[in-house]
Amino acid sequence: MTTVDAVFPAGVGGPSRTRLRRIGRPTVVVAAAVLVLVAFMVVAPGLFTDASPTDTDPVNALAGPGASHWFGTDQLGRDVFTRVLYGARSSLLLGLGAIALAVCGGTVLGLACALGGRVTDQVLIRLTDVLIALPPVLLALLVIAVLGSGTTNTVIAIATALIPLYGRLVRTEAMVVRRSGYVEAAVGLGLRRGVLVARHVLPNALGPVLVLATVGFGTALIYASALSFLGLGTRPPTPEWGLMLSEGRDFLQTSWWISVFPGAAITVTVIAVNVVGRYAQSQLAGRTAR
Amino acid sequence: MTLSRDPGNHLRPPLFGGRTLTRRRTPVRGRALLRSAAKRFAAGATVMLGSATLAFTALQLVPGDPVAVLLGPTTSASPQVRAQIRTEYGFDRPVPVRFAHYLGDLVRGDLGTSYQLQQPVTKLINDQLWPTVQLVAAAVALAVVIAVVSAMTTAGRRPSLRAAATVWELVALSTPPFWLGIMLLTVFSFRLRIFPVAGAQSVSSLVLPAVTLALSVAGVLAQVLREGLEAALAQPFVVTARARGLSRTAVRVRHAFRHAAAPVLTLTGWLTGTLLGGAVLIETVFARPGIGSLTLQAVTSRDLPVVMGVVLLSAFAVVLIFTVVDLLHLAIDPRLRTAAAAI
Repeated sequence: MTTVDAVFPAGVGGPSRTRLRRIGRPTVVVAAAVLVLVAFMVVAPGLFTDASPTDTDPVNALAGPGASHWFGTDQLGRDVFTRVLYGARSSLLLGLGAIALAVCGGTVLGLACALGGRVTDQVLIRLTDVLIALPPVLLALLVIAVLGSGTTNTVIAIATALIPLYGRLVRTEAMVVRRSGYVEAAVGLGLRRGVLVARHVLPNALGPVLVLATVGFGTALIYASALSFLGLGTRPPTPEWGLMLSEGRDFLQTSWWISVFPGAAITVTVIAVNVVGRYAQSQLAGRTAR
Repeated sequence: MTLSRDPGNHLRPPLFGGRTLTRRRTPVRGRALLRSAAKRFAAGATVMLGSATLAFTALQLVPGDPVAVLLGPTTSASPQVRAQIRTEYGFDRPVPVRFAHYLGDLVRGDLGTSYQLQQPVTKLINDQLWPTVQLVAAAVALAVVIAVVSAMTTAGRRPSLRAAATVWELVALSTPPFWLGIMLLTVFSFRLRIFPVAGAQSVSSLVLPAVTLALSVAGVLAQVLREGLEAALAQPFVVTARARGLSRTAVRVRHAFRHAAAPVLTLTGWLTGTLLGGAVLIETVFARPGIGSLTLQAVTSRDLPVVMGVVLLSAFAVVLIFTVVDLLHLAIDPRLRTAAAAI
């Protein structure tokens, strides 16, 4: 059992492809539909409501869920339903940015390991070992302590916490591809190194990594909302799910809806991402099974 | 039945190890343990040195003047005072010298002084360590119990049961712990008033935070353990054991579980480490004192020596955890003992 097997973000069975069981098709369809809906919320939240996420209405502050406010209102009288809709954008973009950066960084790191010679490989692997050993949330907090809080730094922080894992993964895949017949053939044909990597090694090594990045996106989303929850990511009054959750904490005794609905939005999105991600993994396992 | 109760029976699968075999192998096992411990120590030393380097690098990377960070944004100290602070903290010495000093201090257990609280980091951490250790230990124990019970009762059973297990595992590992904590607080503390809302004074104040922290870990562990059990139950040795008259439950508990446990053990070790990070969130939700709240405070005020202290502490904890995990691996899997001895 290698470290990466043991360690893959949010578990989800780890990258071992044999273990995955196919999830029922209806579940996958529902999950995909949820993700499409969330995508619409990111692109055009105005489609679902005419209200504004930042308009305050002190008279109707802390109103419970009802016909006029489906999810109730918060301490400033802002409509929680509208804020959940608009919050999708900041939350998902943070998660998406972080996972994209992590995959890019991991790809560079992994290729450097696989193609850079023994010494580079050993040094980088020892380094990733250290980073993997540390708790990811703590690593992200360390980055924020150095760079300061804010959305850009949150993305960098989460990516830093995930890069070692993806680096490991890309390295393993690239090692396999490098020893394959078609790469040898390409070398025999006299392809330049850069072309070889770009046209043969990268596309073949990246497939499984991208599939795993789907599941990793769920993890990144949780981390992103966690950092906003701690007050280190998105700043008020921007609607963001983690931040809304933390804003509602002071009113839990009387107005549970302020915190509960944004949290439910995170959970439902992450479940949908995980279902689709696992389905993609099982499809990949089916294709590469020997 | 007579077959299965005979301890010297050579039909016994080799993995389970006859009594005589085990006894003869004892000195070899001791050597293997020692060798493994030495290897683990070297790996642990690497992780510690790496973390220390990382911590020191992070300290150097902070943009701006460290003296300005130290003084805070509001103070207007004279250049003389600034120069004095610079000398006092050693900011004027070359980087390699400072790194050497830093390592020397670490070896002596000196993690530096907090910028904000003006106290030794070691003391700050010591004061806050116990509630977090309690929380993490309780959460790990709970997660392992939940995972083992869930996997043992559902692995390889009828499809409806397995589907139910898949659903709960998925929901458990997809739920952000901080949200779960808020839900539990709303229901059990504010509505039903069963558990206290905040603090770490009593055992009852530990229940909700531990459950919150445990659930996502339990989901992951249950999933991996259940899939491992199902793979193990499909192995030929299960038929052999059944043929010797062992009940289904006995095969599960004594044979399949041992096979499935090894990867889960590694995972548990790693997840225990990650819980130190998760504790930051959970301690915030439940307003519990501990390393988590100390860390959050330090991150917010960019009090780097404290953050570094916590990072080094968790690196140390991880090294410790994996040493235990390695030893437990040897206890679970006899193949590792012989393999280690053969090298």
